[in-house]
Amino acid sequence: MWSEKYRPQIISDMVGNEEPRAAIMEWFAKWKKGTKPLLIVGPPGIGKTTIGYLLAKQFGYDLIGLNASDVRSKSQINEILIPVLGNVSVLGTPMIFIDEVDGIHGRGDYGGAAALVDILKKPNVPILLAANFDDSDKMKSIKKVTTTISFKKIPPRLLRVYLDNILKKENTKLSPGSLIKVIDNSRGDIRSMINLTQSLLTGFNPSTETSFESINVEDGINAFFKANSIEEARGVLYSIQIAPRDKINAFYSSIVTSDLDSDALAKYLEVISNADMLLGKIMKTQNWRLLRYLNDILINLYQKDDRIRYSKYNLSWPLLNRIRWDGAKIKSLSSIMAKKLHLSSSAFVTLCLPYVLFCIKNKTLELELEETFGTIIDKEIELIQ
Amino acid sequence: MVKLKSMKLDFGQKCAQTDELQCIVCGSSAGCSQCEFQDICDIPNVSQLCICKKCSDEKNAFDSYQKSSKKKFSILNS
Repeated sequence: MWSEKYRPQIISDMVGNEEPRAAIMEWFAKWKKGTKPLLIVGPPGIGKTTIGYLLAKQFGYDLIGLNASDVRSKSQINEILIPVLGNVSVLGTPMIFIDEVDGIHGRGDYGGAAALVDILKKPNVPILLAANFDDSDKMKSIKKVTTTISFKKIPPRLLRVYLDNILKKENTKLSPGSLIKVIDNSRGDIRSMINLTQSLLTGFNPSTETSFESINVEDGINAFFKANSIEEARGVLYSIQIAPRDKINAFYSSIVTSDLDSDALAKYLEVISNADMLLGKIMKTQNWRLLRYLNDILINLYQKDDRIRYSKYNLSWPLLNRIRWDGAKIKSLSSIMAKKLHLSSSAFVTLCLPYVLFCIKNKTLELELEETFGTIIDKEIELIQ
Repeated sequence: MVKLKSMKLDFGQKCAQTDELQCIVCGSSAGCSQCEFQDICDIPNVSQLCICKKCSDEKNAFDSYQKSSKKKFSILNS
C-alpha cells in the first residue's frame, strides 16, 4: 500500500503544519517531569498519529501507544498506565501516546476520562494525546490539564506537490482532472489522497475510460473477480468505498449464491470469516485503526473466477419471500401461543411449534385461533415430513 | 474625517491579509486569489504555509519545500 510505503520516516519528511510540528519538537526537546501533556487536535489523516510514533523513534523513547478504547474505564487505566508511571526508572525511557482520546466519551465510559485527567495532572513521562475534535465536555476537562496544538488540513496545492512527488517515484501520472478530483475528495486527508490515487491508477479501465472512484457495489464485486491481476483487484477493492460491514456482506452474499465447488467455497468462506473476525474485534474494542487491514484480508478472495457474480441477498428469491411474508405470520402466531404456554416466542418456535403442528395434523389438538392463521398452519404442516 | 478613512483602509488591508497564505519556498504570497484550488481550499482553516504556483511548477518542488521547511524551522532537523 502506498500509504504505508510513503509513510514519513522522520518528522521533517511530513508535509504541512510546519509550525505546529516545530512546536511539538520543542515541547519534546524541553520536556521535564511535570511538563503539561500535549494534546494534538485535528482532522483525520494529517499526521497526528504519525508524529507521535516518529517522536518516540527520533528521540529514542519507548512508545506505549494506547487508544481511547484502552483507557475507557478507570480499571483499564489502572491496569495499563499506573504500572508504567510507577516504574519509570526501571522501564527505560517510556512515553505514552493516547490516540483518538476524544473517543473516550460515550456510554462505555466507566470513569475513564476522570481517571485519565488525574494522571495527566501529574505526568512523570512525556504524554501525548491526539484527537479529532475537542469540543465535548470530556475533552474540555482534558484540555484544562494539557497544552493544545492544532493541526489543520493541508492546503490543496501543497498536497498536489506531495502527490506529484509520489507519482514521480512510482513512475506514473494522473491526468490534471483526476488529480484535482483526488485532492478535492480527500479533503486534506493525506492518507485518503494516497489510497485514492493508488486505487485510481490500479483500477482504471482504459478501454472505457471509467475509473472506480465512485463505484457501485455490484460493479465493484464483479470487477474484482474479473480483474486480470491482483494489483487491479486491489485497486477495485480500495475503490469500493462503502461501510466495512456492507463490504463483507456484499462479498459473502455473492459467494454463497454462486455455483462453486466445495473446496473453493470453503476457501472463500475462510477469508470472509477472517474479515468478519477483524470487524468484530474493531467493533468490540473501537480500535478503528485496525480497519486499514480489512482490505488486506479481503484481497485473499481474489482469483479470476467467472463463476462469482454479485448478489445482494444471500438466499434465493423464493426463500427470501417466504421468510418475509410467512415469517411475519409465524411470529404473530408464536407470540400468541407463547403467552398461552408461558414461554418466550423463540422457545415456542424452537421447541414446541413442530409438535403443535404434528398434533394439529393428527387431529389430536384443536386450537382456537383466528382464521388468518389457517393458511400458514396448513403450509407449515405440509413441510412436516 | 481623515482619521476615519485611514482606519477603514487599515481594516480592509487586514481582511485581505487573512485571505492569502504565504509561500514557504520563496516567502512571497502563495497567490490564493489565482489558485487553481481556490474553490476547494478553506483558507482560514488550512495549514498557513503553502507553495506558490511558480515554486510548485519547479522540477523538484517537494525537495524545495522540504529544504525551506527545515531552514525556516531548524528544530525540524533534530
